[in-house]
Amino acid sequence: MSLSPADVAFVKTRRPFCDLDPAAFTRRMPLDDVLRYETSLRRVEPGQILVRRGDYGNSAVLILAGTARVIHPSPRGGTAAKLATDPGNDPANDSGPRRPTGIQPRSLRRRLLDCFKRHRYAHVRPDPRPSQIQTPGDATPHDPPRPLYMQDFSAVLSSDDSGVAIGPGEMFGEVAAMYRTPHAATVVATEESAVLEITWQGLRELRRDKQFDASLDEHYRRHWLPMHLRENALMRYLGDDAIARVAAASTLHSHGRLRWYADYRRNAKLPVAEQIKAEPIVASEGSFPHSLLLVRAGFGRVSVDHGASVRTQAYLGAGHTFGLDAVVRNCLSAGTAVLQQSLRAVGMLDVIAVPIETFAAEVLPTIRRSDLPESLSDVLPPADRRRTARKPETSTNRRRDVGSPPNHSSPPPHVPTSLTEFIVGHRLTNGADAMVVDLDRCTGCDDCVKACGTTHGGDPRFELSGPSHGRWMFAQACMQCVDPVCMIGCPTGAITRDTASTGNVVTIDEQTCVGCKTCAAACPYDNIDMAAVVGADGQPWLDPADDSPIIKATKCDSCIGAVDGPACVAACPHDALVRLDLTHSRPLDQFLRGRP
Amino acid sequence: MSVVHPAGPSSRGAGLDMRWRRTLAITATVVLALIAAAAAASIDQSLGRDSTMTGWALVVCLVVLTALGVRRRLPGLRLGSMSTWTQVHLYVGAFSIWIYTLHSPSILAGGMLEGPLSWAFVAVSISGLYGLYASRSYPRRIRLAVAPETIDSDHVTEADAILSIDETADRSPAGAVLRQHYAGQVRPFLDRHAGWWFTLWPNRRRSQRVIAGIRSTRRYLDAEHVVIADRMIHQVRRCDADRYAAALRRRLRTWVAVHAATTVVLIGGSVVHVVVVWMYRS
Repeated sequence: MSLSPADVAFVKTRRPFCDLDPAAFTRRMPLDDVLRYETSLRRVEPGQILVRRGDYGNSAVLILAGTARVIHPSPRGGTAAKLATDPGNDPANDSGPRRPTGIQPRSLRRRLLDCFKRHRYAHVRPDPRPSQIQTPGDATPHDPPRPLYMQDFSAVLSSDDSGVAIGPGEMFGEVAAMYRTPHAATVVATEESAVLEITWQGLRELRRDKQFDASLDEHYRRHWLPMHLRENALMRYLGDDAIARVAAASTLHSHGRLRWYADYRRNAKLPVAEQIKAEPIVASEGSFPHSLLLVRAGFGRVSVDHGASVRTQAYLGAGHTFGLDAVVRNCLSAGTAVLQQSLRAVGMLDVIAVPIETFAAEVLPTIRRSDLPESLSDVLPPADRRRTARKPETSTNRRRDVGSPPNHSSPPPHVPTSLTEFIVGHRLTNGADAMVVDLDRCTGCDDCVKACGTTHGGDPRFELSGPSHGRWMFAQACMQCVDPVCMIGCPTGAITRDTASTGNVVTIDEQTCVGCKTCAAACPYDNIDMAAVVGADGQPWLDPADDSPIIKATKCDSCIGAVDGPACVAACPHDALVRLDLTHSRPLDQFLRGRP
Repeated sequence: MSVVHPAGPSSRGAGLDMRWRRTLAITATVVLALIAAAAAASIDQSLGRDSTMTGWALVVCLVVLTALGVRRRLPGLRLGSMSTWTQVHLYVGAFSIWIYTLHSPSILAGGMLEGPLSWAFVAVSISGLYGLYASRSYPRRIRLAVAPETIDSDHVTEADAILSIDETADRSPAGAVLRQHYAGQVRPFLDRHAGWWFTLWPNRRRSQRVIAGIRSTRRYLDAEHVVIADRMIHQVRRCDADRYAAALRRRLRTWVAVHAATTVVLIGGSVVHVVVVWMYRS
């Protein structure tokens, strides 16, 4: 819902809008229009959660009046323990699968009935009451979602570790909105407050003002950068002061386009050499590593020069590091080791550059030697060299070393270069739960599709087709992307990723979906379908306004709530179908190692 | 490791290392087979009836083998993955063949009931072994024959398009020769559906005859039309590869039906056999 002219005038009297230069904005989209169409006013109550850590959001929130508290997980437990009543749902706990709680598993009776039920029509829903029918005309942009409240908020506030208070003029959620990353902290209103929600498109327009742009960067550096640094495994033993010094010395760099999905398909058809040539270089092979690069968002291609062209060795995603080997080598031996690989932005890549001097002074002394790659054993002190040399990688010590950062830049031994380049070229690196089909084992029995249909009331949620490379086909099923482009622009907020309740699966709320096709058009992989909904008699639901059929967006939900995982995987009799996390090379490598 | 894995586990369905799983299953099957043979020999030496023990073992195997079909029809229940069930089915099937050799005096028994029953068992076993071979080798052959994205191409329309590229402008004698040959030889080949005979015995004789025919017209064509003829040969080859792949897919579907049908006969005969044995037990 757009702001009224009176609201716009009121908002313009508040910081930071009163300091903005109207001349910095375009005539097509002046400041008043940005505020009118890209923001919305909300009144919130004490204890109401404004954003939750781990959730994805399309908008930033500015406090106009009142106060809120930013609660981020403490490394020693503290507030995080109070926020996450179920340890399986603590987003800070990355050690294993997250247990969704929002969706209850179906009862045995229901599942048994589903097995024997014959569905004459797909997408059958009970006949709706007229008031239930949602159409694109019902879309109410920026409609506030149902408010959530923190249960034991007073107890959280009274604790010593109750987070940071923020007040009028302060903004949060802008990083998540602009870079499509999960919120890094939970923000709760501490009193009745007025907040202004600004869409990511609005933020992009507001950043035309240099002062506002600088303030956003400064805000990020002050509030979020230390948190992002702390999330990196190499920095987990750093104290608060050291983190602050590292944050102060670090620089932020963005490479490529945020709208990477706009032209990737055209590029994917080009020869690999041309694809690589078109990608912005972040760090060049043979150059001196002035800083350690930590990937904050997006994807990078690690490559080496090979003959007259370039060969892809690995790919990096959020949380990975680049240049560790050369940086540590230079820190320990005071030599002039150069980078052995190049890093290029695949689509979009956001990195935090930690200068080598800061790394040597603040970070390296706190890193365990066992956390460093094997390739550094020649520059490590003798005692440590013995320790690292004695430890070949076995399943036992791999388990003991959970949490230690692997060398992300090293090529996965069982993944052929051509397959790595195919995955990068088709941007399958985005898929956290990609459906991979072994064409040398798939007999085309369609048991996976039938099982999907049985589980979803007769509506299979995927197609057994898609891009293929050799024996591997990447089927057209939602991959639960780490950069969920489909979530941009949903007018009703029907498509969401709620880490607390759905275990990071992107879900579509059918009641809220108005069938506007925005998500289906936005999905770069065509993995969202628009399906006409029919009644029990097979007749389509009709929009009372114009008698057009009601359509809803449907996609694979990874059988959320099913204890034994996706039905398609369980139904495959030939081990042909697996769901793999392609955001980093290791799961694919492990999978290929086990295949004859 | 600070990388967030949004969907939870990094891989689902990858299961055990296949080589390790195979070794484990073969070892277990061989050990069980040896135990069964030793037990049968022991009973035989003590003048007992080992066929009772092996018969009941066969009944248990039959129940376990049939359970795969039940599991397949209940995808919504938490009964373990179909892949695990299939592996169990395979090795129990192999084990039951061994038990059958201990149970039956000859591969094909005589008698009113035992004769057809042994035929049914052999048919089920052969179709199962064929299914194992087909499901492990045909998918690869299909993949190598046709790219997944070209499956179900309309070869007739594509071939028509190749010929009609310059049809309106083409009044040359070479064009007429090519069109005439296309209408008489190539188009009937593309129009014709591959029959059951082709499914049973896919071969390239017909496509090679058509290709040879196109090649034989090349000497009547100019350089421009030779290129079109070569594209037509490519199209015939693609059509042939598609038919070959379709034949293999049809075989993959057919053996399941055959295996299921013979299994029903086997189950029925086995029940009657058990009842008869039970009635005439001494």
